[in-house]
Amino acid sequence: MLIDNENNKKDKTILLTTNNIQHYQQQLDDYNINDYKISFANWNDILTITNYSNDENQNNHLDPEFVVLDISTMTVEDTNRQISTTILTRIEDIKRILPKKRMFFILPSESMIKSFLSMKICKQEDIRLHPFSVFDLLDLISITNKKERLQRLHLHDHCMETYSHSDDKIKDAIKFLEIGIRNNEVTLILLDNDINLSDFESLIALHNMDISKLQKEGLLKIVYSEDWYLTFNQKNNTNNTHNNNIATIDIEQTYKKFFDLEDRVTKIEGKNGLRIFGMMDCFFKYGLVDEIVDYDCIRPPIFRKPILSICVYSDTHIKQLSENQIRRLMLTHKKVGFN
Amino acid sequence: MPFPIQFRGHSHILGIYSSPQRKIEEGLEYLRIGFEENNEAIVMITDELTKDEVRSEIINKWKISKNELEDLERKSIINIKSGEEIYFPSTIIDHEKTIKQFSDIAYASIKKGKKRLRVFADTKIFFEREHEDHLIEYEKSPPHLFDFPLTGLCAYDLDDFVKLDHTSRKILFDHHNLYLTNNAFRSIFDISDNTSAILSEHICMFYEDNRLQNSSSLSIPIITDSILRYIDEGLLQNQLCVYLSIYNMKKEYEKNIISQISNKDSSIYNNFMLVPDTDRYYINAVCENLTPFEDLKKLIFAKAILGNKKNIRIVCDIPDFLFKNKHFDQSVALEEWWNETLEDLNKRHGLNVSLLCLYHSNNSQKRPYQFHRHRINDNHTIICDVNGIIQSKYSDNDSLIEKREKNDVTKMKGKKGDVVE
Repeated sequence: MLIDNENNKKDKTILLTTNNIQHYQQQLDDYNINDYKISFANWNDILTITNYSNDENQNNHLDPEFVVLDISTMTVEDTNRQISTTILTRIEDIKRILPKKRMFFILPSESMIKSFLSMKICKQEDIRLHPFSVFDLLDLISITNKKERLQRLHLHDHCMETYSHSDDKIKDAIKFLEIGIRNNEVTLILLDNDINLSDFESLIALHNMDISKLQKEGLLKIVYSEDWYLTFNQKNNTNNTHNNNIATIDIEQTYKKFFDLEDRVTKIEGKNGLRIFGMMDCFFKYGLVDEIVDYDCIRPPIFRKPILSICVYSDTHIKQLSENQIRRLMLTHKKVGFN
Repeated sequence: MPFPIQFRGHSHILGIYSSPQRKIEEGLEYLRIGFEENNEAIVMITDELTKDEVRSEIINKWKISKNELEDLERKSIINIKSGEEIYFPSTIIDHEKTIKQFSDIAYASIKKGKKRLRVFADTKIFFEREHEDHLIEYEKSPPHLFDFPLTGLCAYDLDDFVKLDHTSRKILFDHHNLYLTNNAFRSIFDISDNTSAILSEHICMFYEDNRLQNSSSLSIPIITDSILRYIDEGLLQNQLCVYLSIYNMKKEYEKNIISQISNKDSSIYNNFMLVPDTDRYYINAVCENLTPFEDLKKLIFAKAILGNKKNIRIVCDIPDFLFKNKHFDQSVALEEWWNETLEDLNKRHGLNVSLLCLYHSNNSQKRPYQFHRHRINDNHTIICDVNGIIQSKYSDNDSLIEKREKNDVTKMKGKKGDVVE
């Protein structure tokens, strides 16, 4: 049986599948949510309902904006909080019947997240924990409406991102490039040394982008961060660099390079601006910890020129910074992806 | 933007402090930012701590060693002075001579690669020596005398400041271009309507969410005594009070909150404004669309004009919900929007709007909340706890002067040969 929490007509529907309909219904009855109607379905009925509702010839066509599957009200197979095969099959069936619908999952506890993720049922950001309130539902509505993070960054923003894994950095660098191409902005990617250039270029090519063409048109520039930012007294000599400070950064010269490039691409090459994805690992490799903070914090959160810059840090390096250095970084950047 | 980020370029700042501890903590932080982050030479003028105590604080909290500090003092990049040295070097008080000392240090430091001079000037000595009139004359010095690369914070103890007559206080407000009044009070409820600058604060109140972790209790609105008191006081003074809470989505919530307000005369229905449809405010804020807030601003302005209201209080918890759900950039963007809005309504339209933002503190010590909290603090002029008690914006609340007093007591006890606990 499908139960709606509102009789009045609302444009959009959310499907909440749970074995505790009464609990949610009581809670939702106490609140006014604009524009959205919540339809409830019991886990036992869900397949019948979605099968029926998916038939567009039927009058009662159900086309939810997104689906919330409350796993916390289902039984679990054992005390180790393993997902039962029944649940798994049911989820797969729902996904098959409602393809392309974003699904959120309410898990009973944090301990279940790891095993849930290992089954590749969903991404971490689509998981919520019990107890789930009307405000959590409101948040799900908002995140299904908002743009993806990299899409929300604009020219003039001085931003900071942190990553736990190099793979995620690479994925975002490629997405960042794709957006840049669409916006007729030049993308400068400053690579960490541990990323192989030809591997990186192959990954870009996998996204149907012709690197030679992009470089010829001036839309893409890839340089190793170390070569862009640092000056070496003895190039390639990494012995005792931490103590002897062989590597240095000339802050003014480095910014001048960015500004000169921006001038060239906007005034001569007719592009809309310069976007920079700058990976910062090299500073930490050479022990330039205070230097990177000083360098990064010299610029305000908003550039006057049409430059979008993301300063890309690794989580492990952030842990090396003092509270005060982190505070400075947080206050220097307009947008901070530090989750 | 509030302290300390706003101080770029030439600023003459008036700071009023409820305690010597706060004064010195903020003073040292103000100078540290200038020295470490803005490449400025600095002068610390105070008699609250000895020079060695100031040195010890600098070595402990800044990124410099004892030897480096000695070197910087020799080069006059870091200057630690007593009030007497600067203001009363002889029996004749000469303001121009005092200012010239600063200009000499400033130009010498610029030759050594510094951008400008930053001075923290504790004014206590003038009050101790009953030379308040000289202090006011000094503060009134014509601007051309200060026409060199200088930024300065003149620090007053609240106890001294209140001794000044109205004319002197007005001179001080007129001759400074920024006021730091957030340290002048122990609690937001001490704030009276005597000083107009104080009515337009952007307050961040942290509360602990002690509700049981179950979904039914999570949907119960939080109305702390402080919020009620804040609204009550506003209504009592016939101010317009605007309540923009995510809980306004709850049916019949208006009745609920009105039932808890003690001042319930007929004006409450004219002066109390509960903003409906707050789900739209939240959803749009997550999507970086602040149109509902812009519309609300117009509505508040219209209501203020029609109701002939100059003083307005707003309570808002939407940024907290954004923060809690890790929409950090959106939470900061909304707070920045509030800052611009308060400035526009207060400065351009002559209103006195104060805003109380509620934040629950449960996550504030956990990553990543603890880091983003710096951004939230930075966007408020006052940080307070659930009782309205004003807190430092900085994490290290260990008071220098309290520490010294404790040490002195310990030393004294030791000297007397008593049992030291």
